[in-house]
Amino acid sequence: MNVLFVHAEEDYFSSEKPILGYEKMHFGISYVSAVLKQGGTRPGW
Amino acid sequence: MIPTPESEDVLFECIRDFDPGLVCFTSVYSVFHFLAGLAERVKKRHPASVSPWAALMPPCAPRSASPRLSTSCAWARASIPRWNWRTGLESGKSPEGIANLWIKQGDRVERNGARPFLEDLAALPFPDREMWLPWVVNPSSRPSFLAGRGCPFQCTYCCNHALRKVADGKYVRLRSPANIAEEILEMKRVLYLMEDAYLEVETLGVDREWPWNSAPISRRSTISSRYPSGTAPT
Repeated sequence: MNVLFVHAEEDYFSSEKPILGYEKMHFGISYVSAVLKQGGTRPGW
Repeated sequence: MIPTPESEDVLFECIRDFDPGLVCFTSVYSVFHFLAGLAERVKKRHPASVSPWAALMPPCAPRSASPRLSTSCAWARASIPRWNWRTGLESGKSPEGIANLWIKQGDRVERNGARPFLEDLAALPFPDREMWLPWVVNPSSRPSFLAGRGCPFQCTYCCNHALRKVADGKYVRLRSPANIAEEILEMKRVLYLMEDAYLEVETLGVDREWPWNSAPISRRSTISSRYPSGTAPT
């Protein structure tokens, strides 16, 4: 099963590249995605 | 993916091309209502899709969040729920009885209890940073590393005092310096030009020995130290 993650930013840089740098990365879904990958799921983003 | 009010169509193109069985939403409080509206539109166009939420507002205030969330959705109360829901969906079963998830089916909300906070943070895989790459302006920018979770203080401007009540178990947890160093090294193998690492933690004062053991991580591992380590309280 494919799993799509959808995140929203309040203060985004642009619609094409909303996040300026890696320090703005959201940890919660990053950990969920990592757990899913361990289980063999194909995450999308 | 990261839709904005100007790029909602990209989400629907992605759903059409990627054909996800689960569409998972996450946001901070200030954009929760934008994303909740987007989730409603996803549900209308794709009635069979299921939408888990992993945002801060649902765990802290699930009763106020639930009216805005569409049917066939669930939201995590704390930490990562056991993802057997996914395997259940793959075999055609309706999700039910999964700790850490409140599950909305029509007007009915199934309120499952929370699992204790995960005490051993080293049990988690390192976060997936690859997923952010298409959305980051400067991929060579300094990455953050989560050095611990939870905070013992009761600051009025922060949500930690509320979040700590959603589950049992030890709330303030710190990773070992060795585990943090291993993650930095893994990142360095991908971003070999990476020069800085930002160690992010809610509190340095809860264990007075820990920050001083963690500060010289570069000397405790094979990471070359071009710059001195430092602290920046906020």
